[in-house]
Amino acid sequence: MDLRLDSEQDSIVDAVAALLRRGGRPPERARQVSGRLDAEALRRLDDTGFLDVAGDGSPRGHLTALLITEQAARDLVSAPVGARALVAAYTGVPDPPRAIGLAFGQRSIVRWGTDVDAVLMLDGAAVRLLPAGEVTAERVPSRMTYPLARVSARPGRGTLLGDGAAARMTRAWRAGLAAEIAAAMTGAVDVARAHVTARTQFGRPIGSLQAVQHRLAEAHVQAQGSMWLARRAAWDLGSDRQAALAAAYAASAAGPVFDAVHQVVGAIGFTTEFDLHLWSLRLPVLAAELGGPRAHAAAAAAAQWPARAQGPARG
Amino acid sequence: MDFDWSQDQDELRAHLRSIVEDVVPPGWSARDRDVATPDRLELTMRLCQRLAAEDLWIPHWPAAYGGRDASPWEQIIIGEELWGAGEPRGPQYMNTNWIAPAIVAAGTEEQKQRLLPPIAAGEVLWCQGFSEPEAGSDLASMRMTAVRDGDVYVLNGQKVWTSYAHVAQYCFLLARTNPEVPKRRGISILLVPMDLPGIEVREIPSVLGAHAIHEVFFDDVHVPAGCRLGEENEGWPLIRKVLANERIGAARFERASRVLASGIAATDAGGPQDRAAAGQALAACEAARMLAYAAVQDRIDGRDDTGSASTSRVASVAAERAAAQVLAAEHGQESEAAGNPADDQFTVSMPVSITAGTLEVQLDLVARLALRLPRG
Repeated sequence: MDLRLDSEQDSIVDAVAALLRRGGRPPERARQVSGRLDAEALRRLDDTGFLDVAGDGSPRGHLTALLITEQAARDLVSAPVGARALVAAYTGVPDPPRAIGLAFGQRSIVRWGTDVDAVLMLDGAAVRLLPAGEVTAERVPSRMTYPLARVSARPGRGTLLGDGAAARMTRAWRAGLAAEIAAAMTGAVDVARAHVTARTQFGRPIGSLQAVQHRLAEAHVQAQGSMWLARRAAWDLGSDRQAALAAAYAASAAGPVFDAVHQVVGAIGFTTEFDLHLWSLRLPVLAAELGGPRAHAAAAAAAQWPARAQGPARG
Repeated sequence: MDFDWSQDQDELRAHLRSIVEDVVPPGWSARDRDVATPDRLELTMRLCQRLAAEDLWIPHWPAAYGGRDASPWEQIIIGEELWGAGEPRGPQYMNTNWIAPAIVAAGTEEQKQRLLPPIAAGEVLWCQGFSEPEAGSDLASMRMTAVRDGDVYVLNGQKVWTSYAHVAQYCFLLARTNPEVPKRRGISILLVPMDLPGIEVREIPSVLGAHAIHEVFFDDVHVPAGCRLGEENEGWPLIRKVLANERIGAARFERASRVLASGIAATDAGGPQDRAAAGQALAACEAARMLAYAAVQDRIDGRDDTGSASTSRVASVAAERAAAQVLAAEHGQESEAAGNPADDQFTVSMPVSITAGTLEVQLDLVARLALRLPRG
């Protein structure tokens, strides 16, 4: 057990951050590419090999792919980094295209769904890779900060991946999702923290008020918990339990963290001139993905109490 | 970054489990560590002495005092396995986790020679004299006085919520030695033998169970000056460090996670009726575990200003409460019966947001240390 980034991981994360920030500071860049896929950022990551770090299939490789996913989300990159670096790599997609959308079922909402090269569709016990031409993707108008599309495919289309692909894809997706949620939470808490430190009411910074401090402190705990569970799940990517626990914790904390960060910043949090929404409005989208918190939590329970897994369930 | 345990660490865990299985009877609960009866006390003594005999009692101590400088990871594995089993070390978990380390850090050679060997042998009981009726979360406001008179201090005052006071031979006591200076600068630590004349222990009847809490009265108690730990009036900085150790030493998440797993498996259905709620409670336990590991890492790296110990405690409270709620829901009305796993978890989780620093104090520390928010 050693929770420090080693020098290689540290330099990879630093290099990814530097590469991504070449396109501008994260909030400015996010506003420039608002509503579309940031193909340039994805290309740069691909050209430098950062989307292929999970290649050797080792725990270390998976963790590195997750750390890159986390950093990209922290920097508001508008591109499916984890879908390629972690999910497609671990699921065993041969020659994966650069921009991959992740779909849950034959008809679902997919981030960047109109802009991706291909869709990796988790369809019950099957996983299919569908080139963009084989799916129908309709843009879904939304105030959320990701470009969203309703993606559907007719049964039987695309390339069916081999045995075990569905379980592998589910685990990697859950781990990556938890990392993206953790990163969005951390970014949002940071913006809120800076605001309450500077904002004065009643003659004092509102961040000195205990009611404000405690809400942000709880959000910090949930962001940190999500981050560590995601990293742990990536290391042990063969474990259904770890992946489900990470996603369950992060997805269920997303709502409370959203509420907390918006509560402490007040009305300015509703303006698009203020940076908070760039991170916070990612949370509802991520929390709902892949079945949402109840599905992740029920999966964790099924892994913990397998006897019950066959029986009827209310959850 | 690496989340695997080494082979030695896995073996340590297996060894601890075999000792627990050997010594601790099935059905031992976290509530039994209050050692309400002589047989429970005897069991905790037997376990600690067995751990001492197997070199698993004080491995994280410096080699000079009988330990082997083991890493904090080893300490948390021991914490997980023993807290997970309901802490059958009883009162002595405090000795090894923070009382002895404080003596090692600040004690005189005479104190170390006199006090550490009985702790290392697992045969002495300590209690902690911190809280007072007027000094709870605001611990530094304590009023207990220790007035120097030649080569003794004369103690007068009252301590409260003192676990294990009914059996302890020593008290790790905070007292005010200088009332004239700002409150944090006039506090000293005294290592007080509990058999001195003038000390009276009273059990406070409680809903938590027998002997869970006590109050201790000190009436003109003469304590030799040689019992003072560290410099006079310099107790507060040492206490802050000690409290951080205390927060890290209790692997509550491990016990909550085990009680949840076994408590739900013990229902008629053998699994949860509400799978989502049960999965969420498990996730809360695992988040608390990872945050405890993050705090251990900070301690290894010598970072004591990140707030990670408090972050971990906040997550532990959430985990304990989630486990209690899920167990109560799964067991329904049966959860009201004494001895039901849900009743056990309900009782154990009740004080977790109060003891060792309230949840609000922990959140204050997270706000100040981790988020660097301005002081109120």
